[in-house]
Amino acid sequence: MTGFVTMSFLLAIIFLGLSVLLSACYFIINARHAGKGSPGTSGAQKPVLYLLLIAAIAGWAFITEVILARIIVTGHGPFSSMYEFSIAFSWGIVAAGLLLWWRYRILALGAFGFVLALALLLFAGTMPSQPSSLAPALQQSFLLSAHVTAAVIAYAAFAAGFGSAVFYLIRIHRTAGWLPEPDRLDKISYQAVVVGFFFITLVIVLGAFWADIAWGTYWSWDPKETASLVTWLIYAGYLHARLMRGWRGTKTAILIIVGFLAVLLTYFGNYFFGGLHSY
Amino acid sequence: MEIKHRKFPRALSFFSKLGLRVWRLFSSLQLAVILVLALSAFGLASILVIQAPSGIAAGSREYALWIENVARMRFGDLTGFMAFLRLFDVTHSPLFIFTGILLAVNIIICSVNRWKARMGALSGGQVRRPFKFYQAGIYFIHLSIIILIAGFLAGNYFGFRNPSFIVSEGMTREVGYGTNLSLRLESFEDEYWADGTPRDYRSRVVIYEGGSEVKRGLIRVNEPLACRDVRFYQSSFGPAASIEVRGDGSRQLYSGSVALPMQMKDGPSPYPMGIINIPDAGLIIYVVGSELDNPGRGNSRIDLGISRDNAGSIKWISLGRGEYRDFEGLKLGFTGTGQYSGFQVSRDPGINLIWTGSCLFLLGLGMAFFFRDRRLSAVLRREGDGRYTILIKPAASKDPGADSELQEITGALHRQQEDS
Repeated sequence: MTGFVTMSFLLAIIFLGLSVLLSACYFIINARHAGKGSPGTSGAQKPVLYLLLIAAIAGWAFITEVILARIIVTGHGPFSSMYEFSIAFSWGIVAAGLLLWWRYRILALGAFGFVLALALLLFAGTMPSQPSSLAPALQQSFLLSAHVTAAVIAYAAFAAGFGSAVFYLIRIHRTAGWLPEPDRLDKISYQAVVVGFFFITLVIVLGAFWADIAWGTYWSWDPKETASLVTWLIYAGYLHARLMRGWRGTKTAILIIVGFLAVLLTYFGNYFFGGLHSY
Repeated sequence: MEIKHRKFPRALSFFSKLGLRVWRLFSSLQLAVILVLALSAFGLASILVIQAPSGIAAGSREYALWIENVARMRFGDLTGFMAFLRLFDVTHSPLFIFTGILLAVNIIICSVNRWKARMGALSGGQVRRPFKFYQAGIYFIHLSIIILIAGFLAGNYFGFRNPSFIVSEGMTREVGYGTNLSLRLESFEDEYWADGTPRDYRSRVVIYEGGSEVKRGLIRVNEPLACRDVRFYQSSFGPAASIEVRGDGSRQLYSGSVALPMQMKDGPSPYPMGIINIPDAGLIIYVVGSELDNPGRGNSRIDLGISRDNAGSIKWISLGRGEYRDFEGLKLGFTGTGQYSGFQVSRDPGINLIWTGSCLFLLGLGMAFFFRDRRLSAVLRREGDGRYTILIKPAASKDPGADSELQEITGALHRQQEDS
């Protein structure tokens, strides 16, 4: 089983890497032909497009295999270490990238997700992969799985919003045939944040409920808890600014980028600040 | 929702004007943003600056000791200033609590303004609008934040939390905090994975109220025990040593299991340590597990440090398992080893408010963002040449998603016009 998991992990990296390379080829070809069609659907690049989508789907399938194999070996969701969570997070981001392509036919957003997911897989590859023994506090299978699954969805949605915001800022300063109109990117980033905000709220609520059962306190100002609350506050501020003040465009794009930096602080913060999540 | 600034009518008194100014201030979205940013800054400070351990109240002797022995080692001359700003106990600082209260007031007043505006819009003979998920969701969200703040404050000020309630096997200890409860640890069991990390640890306990047994059960991580409104959580465990102390005429001064939860550094590895306090005899005895093996084995050894009447000096003797020794009028014995169980004991009157607020918040989010209603205003205008123009726009000027629906409607109207 270990060999199977290792092989699936490597294949996931290879196919995701292939999808990233093909995406780069696609955009280079697009740029050379001045991108006359709507973004992502130019007929001249169709074979490249289909190949990269197949590679991305194959990569996602192999990540799914790794996760399922891990569940069989450990008997619980693959959420008990940074290695496992990084793989789960990359799974969510690839899924988000494919969903964005299917929904909006904007390849740039999908490709952005593939790059992020590949980076996460490479990061996971640097960490010990041996399944670790589950500490007593983690032996709450339902809450562990629900809490971390919600985090995977939330982070993937915020990553999609981040990508849209970055592309928005690029698009308003230069004409790019491979990107849609700025208003469309602005709307996509808003919709992504709405989904992410709901799920990060669910993460915090489930985490508080679980902490109350396991540790006797629903909130202990643990660094990861606090960082997730700060992330939540930033995105809450974004939603207020957009809905109450009518903020659009550059201001909201910057807020989304700041919010995603907070997501990264939440994700990696336990390496620096310790705390209850430092396992 | 903001109230636009208006001039005050001259007839208003000073206090009425003051009240209106305060109301306008708390109607401000900018104030909400400032308060949220302030709370975020407090949160970041609690991450970046080392915080005093939970259970140590600011102003207590333990807090002062922690400041001197831990914080000052890291921050040196800045320690005093940082302690004055309560940076080492941010989440219990009055400023943090006050900011939270201000935010709650801000949310209440904004919600009242919003409600008044909606009720005002229904006047003048308009048709009463049916229930809309979006609007109800917005109110649920803001109401839930107020409930959460109330729950947090109620728990902090009317509840208690003892994160280090330590009891040795076979011993009984009072919970305190006016609960009239005490807990007896009947037995403790621990299991380990193959790599030596803890797999499970559980405590069999009996709870007494006023000396009478009221509950008996098993406590383990993720499975707390509740008695009345007090909850007991399995928190930690460690070694304990059974000690006997006799005074003049073999009068028993102490007999029981002593938990060794502290650590004494003397050499490469720290030793587990506990304290026996016998105030009637003016004795403080430090128990150090210098050679503690698994319970039941014969080669354990402890060091006892005896201090009399706060003399300042501590005299040490060493005892093997089963050994008794006479020392300056005392007879000290080390009868065996065992384990202690560490519990977190808490009472939180605000906990139900927290869960209610959390569920209401999620419900409100779902209603507001996934069942969003949208109102459009339409005006039919007759032009000079006899033709009619239909003007359609979103009822809310800041509706970010109305464009696509407007395009659908205008497209449908054009098609209808062409068909006719």
